[in-house]
Amino acid sequence: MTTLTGMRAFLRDALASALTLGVATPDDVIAHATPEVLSLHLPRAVWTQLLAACLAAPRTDARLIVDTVTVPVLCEHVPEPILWACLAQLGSRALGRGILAPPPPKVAASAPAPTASAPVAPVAAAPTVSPPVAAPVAVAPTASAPIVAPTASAPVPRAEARTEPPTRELPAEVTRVAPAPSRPSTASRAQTADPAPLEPPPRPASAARTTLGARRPQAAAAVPAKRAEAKPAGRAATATDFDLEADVEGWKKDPEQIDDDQLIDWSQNEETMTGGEGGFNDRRR
Amino acid sequence: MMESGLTQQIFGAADVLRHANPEVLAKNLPPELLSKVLASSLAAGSMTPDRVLETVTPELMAKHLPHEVLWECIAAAAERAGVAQGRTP
Repeated sequence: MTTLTGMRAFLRDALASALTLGVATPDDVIAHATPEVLSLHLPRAVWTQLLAACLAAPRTDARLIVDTVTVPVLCEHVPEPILWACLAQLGSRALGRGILAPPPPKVAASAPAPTASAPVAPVAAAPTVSPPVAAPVAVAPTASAPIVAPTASAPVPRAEARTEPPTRELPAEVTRVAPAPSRPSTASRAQTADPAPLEPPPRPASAARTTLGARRPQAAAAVPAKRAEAKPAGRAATATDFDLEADVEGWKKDPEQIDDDQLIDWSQNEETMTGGEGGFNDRRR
Repeated sequence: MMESGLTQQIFGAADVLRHANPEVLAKNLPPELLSKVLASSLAAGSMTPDRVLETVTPELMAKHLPHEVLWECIAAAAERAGVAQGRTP
C-alpha cells in the first residue's frame, strides 16, 4: 500500500474520521463504493482477502467489506469523484440534522396530553355535572314537603281514614271515632291504619248527667250508621251491625225519658262485650 | 464435467472452492462476476460456496478459471470415490 497524498489523503482522513465519529456508516461507504466499483478498481489481492473473509465469516455485510478492504485501500483505489460524492452526502446530512436535538414533536407530547387534558374536560364539565347532582338535592326537600307538611293534604288522609276504618272497624271503635273532631291527618292515618286503644267511658253513675253528657258524643253514633252503610257489601252481618242498629234505635228515644237506672256502666257491663247476641237486645228495663 | 460432477454429487461446491479458492477466483474472474458474487452475498447476508457457484456457474468457471484447477477438483473427487487407479494420462 502506497502512502496517500493530496486529495486522496484528505478523502482518507475525512472518511476515516466520519466512520470513527459515527457520522458515516459502512453502508454509506458501500452505497457509493458498490460491489461493481470495487470489482472494477480493487486489486485482485484485495479481492482475494475479501472473498476469503466473506467465506469464512458467518455473515457478509458492509462492515465486513470496509473492515477487510480498509479505508486507506478504498481511498487509494476507488475513484476520487466517488469518494467525494460519499463525503458530500455525509456532510449535507450532518449539517441538516443541526447541532441540538430537535424538541419532541407536539403530537407525542400531546399524546399524553389527553390524559392531562382529560381532567380539564371533567373540570369543565364539573359545573355542568354538579347542578344535576344538586338538583335532586334541591328537589328532595320539595318532594318531602308533602310528607313533612301533612296539613296541606289533610283532607285526603281523612278520606282515607274514612275508607280504611271500615275494614278494621271494631265495635268499640264505632263509638270511639267521633270524639276526635280535629285530628291531624297523619295522626288520623296512624289511627286508621292501626287504631289506638280507646278510652273507657266515664264510670260514676251519679254523674249520670255528666255521663250522659259524656255519652252525648255517642249521639254522633248516628254517624256510624252511615259508616255502617259504608261497610263492604260482601261483609257478613255480625253482632256489630245489630248493635249499631240497636244503638241507632236506642238513641232515637227521647233522651229525657231515660232514667238513671237505664244507664249502663260501660266499663264493666258484660253486655258491652262484643260477640254477644244478647247485647243490647237483652237489656230489660 | 464440472456440471455433471456437481449434479451427480461426485463432488460438491465446497470441494470446488477448495481448489478454486478465493485467490483463484479473485485472480481469474472478471469484475462483473466478482461484483455479482459480492452483491449476492450482501443481499443474502452471507457468502457460502453454494451461493458462489450459483453466480459462478460451472460454465463460467470453465470459461474463466484455469482448467488445471478444475481437473484437480475432479481427480480428487475420483480418488475419494476409489475409482482412481492411476494417474491421468
